[in-house]
Amino acid sequence: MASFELFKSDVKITGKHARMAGEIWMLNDYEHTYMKRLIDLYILAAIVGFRVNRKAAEDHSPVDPKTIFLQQVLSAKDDLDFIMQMMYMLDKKDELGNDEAVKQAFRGPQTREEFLQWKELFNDYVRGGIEELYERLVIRKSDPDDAYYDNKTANLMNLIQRFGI
Amino acid sequence: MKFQSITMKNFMRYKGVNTITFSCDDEKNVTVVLGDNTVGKTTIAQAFRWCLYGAIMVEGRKKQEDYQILNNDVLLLMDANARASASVDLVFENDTRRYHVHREEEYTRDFPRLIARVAQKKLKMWISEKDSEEDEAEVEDGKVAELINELFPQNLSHYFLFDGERWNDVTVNGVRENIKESVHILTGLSAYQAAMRHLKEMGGNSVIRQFEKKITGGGKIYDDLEADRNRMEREIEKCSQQIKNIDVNIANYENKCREIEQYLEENKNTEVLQAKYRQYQTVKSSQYDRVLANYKVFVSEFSDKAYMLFAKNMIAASLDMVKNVAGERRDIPHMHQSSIDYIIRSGTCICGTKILPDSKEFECLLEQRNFLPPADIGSLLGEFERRGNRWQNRVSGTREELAELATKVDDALRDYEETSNQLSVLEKKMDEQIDFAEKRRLLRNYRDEIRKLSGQRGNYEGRIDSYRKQIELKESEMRSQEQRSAENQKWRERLELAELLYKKMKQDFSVKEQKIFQELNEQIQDNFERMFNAKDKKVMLTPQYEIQMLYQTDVGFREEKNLSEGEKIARNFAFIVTLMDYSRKKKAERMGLEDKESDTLPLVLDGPFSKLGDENISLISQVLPATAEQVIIFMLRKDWKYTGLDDYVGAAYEICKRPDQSYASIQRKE
Repeated sequence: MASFELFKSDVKITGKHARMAGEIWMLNDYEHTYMKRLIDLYILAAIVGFRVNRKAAEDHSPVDPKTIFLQQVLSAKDDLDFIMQMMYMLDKKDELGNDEAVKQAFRGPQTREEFLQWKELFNDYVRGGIEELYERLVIRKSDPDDAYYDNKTANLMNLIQRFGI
Repeated sequence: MKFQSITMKNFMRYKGVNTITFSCDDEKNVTVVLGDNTVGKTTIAQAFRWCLYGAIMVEGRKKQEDYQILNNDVLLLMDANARASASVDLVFENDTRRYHVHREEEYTRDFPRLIARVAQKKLKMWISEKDSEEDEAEVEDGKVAELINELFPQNLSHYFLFDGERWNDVTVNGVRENIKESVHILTGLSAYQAAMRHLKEMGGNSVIRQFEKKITGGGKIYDDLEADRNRMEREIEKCSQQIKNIDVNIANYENKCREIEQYLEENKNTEVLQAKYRQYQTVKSSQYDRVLANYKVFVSEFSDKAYMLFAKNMIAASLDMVKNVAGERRDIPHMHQSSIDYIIRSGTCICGTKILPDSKEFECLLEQRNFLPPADIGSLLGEFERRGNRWQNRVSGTREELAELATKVDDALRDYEETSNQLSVLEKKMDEQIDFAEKRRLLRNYRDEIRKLSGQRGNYEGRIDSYRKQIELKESEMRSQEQRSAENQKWRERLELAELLYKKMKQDFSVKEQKIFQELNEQIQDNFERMFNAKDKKVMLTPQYEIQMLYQTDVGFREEKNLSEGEKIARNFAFIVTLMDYSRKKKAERMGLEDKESDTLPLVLDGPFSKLGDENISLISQVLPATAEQVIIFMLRKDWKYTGLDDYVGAAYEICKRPDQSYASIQRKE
């Protein structure tokens, strides 16, 4: 497992997903940012993408990529591993059966090929999640039934209503 | 007038088709739609407004374009070539007729962005007799908006489509402008105005002029007299037109004078203004800091906890799977086979015992190694369960905490924007305050203009009088010249009758107008007292139909302009109830007559009680069902118990929204 451990390198978000991430997360601009750190967006997007079953392939449009540096990735590694395990077992249970899905989720990738497949699974959901969050936070317009006057606050609270149960 | 039903298709929060059928029962005339906060109550109230007038009510500095009419889920499913539409159908009836209005907008998607573009707009209306719905006649396209406005005057829409949460002074001022005209429509006085216009006030086409043309005489003298009279009548029309123009100009100059006088009064002391400005600047700066600080706490809390909150379902499902994994579980936390390998390689255990190959210690370690991951996942499962439980424990109460923080952000932002607005008003005032002399000069000019115009007005009035006298003379000469034919006699009689009718109507109109104004004013005060139990305040209508709230002071009642939200609602409720009450009474008085122009409007109330106390909710509620023919209320489930309206409810609905769905649906409650 040691040689194929996930979340032990920089994370790069590219193309349109980098553009979307740039509108959701703005460093130290609390008036406009929706997330404190880029790693927070990465974690949240993984869960949101998985919950709405939205995957997206890597995009290579000419946008400056956004990078989460190793130190930050490592600081969240325990949480990321935990999400990866949940994601893997829930994603594969129909294909492998419950027992095998759980076992493989805990065994982790054993070969380079498996390592790449696991990484792809996680990042596909992250990209899908970024798209979903972008639509719900940045694009969503005001609604007369919003309980909040401020659009940003209303959209964040709507997200909590939708996913926070 | 009663609403029978509303049908929304893909309208804002409502995906697919949702219909509400309202109670049209005479006794149980209340339809209630209950829902929690933010589920879509206001959206239904907006659907009424959108269907009738093609616009929704916007909040704060937002614009119509900031709102999307097409349901978001529908938009999401569209590709670049797809078209989808949002529509609202309203069916309503009065004593004799049934009306159906259909408003629809068709959209394309600005793919791949989530933006809807309007491709086509439709507005249709059908009318049928109340008892035979099949014989519907379609209203001509260009006439629909006009007819809707006749049935539901847009100027009064803020009253019968009452939005308790969003109604503010700005809206009221916007509404006030044509309120007098609308009150005339509602109270039936507009019919008088129309009749008077038809009889005499529309120049050559009026009934009286047409009758006059029928009376003929003979010979050149008669023709000359007739030509003279017609010329003078044209002159009178011209003078009347001039007087109308002058009146508009005078009103305009008077407004300007009032503005300057008010300005001079308000700006008596520049220092006060400057001190106020500095004070606001400090307040604004600290409010901005507070907005940022609140945002920071909110965003940080959201970033730290939301992912755990959102993962709750995943955790529950995966913990379930983990619990049911077959096989024996040995839960040795934080250990891995590689940890044992390391101890063996080092030759010494952590307790200091030497580990020699084939020794007892070596064998023990190898046995333990079999129960560790990756060979055995028992310990990993334990760690997984502990982390799952820890996540779940950490987010208990997070939703409430976040909601509280969000409210703080929102409140701080509103305060900040309000101060910013006040500052810009002050800035404008200070910019203008360069030269008072200029203002005073303007004021003098305007007053001169008013004097000049009033002089001209008097002149035209004098000319009209003199023309009228001359016309009378000419007509008496004409009568002596007229052929005494039976035909002329017939038209002469009709003319006299029409003149008499006009005179009587004019007199009646003036009396009735005065009476209505007085009665409305008395009633509004009565209703205000009845609903709000207030002894030290009263409300009054000005002749321009502005609603003033007066407060008892040492020197009698004085107008109070800075009203709290609750007071504004109280004042507006008193006005609504008064209008409804009044038109209902008038209708009852007219029963038996044919005039049914003045139907009572139904009341559609959105969150009417959100800013009122429990006692006032109950006081108002008792008045409503008796006042309007039909009451439709959208309100919070929790406020319902204070209303005491249960006996009047003819239909009840509940707005349901599953938390995992972004759209709401409406269900009838028994």
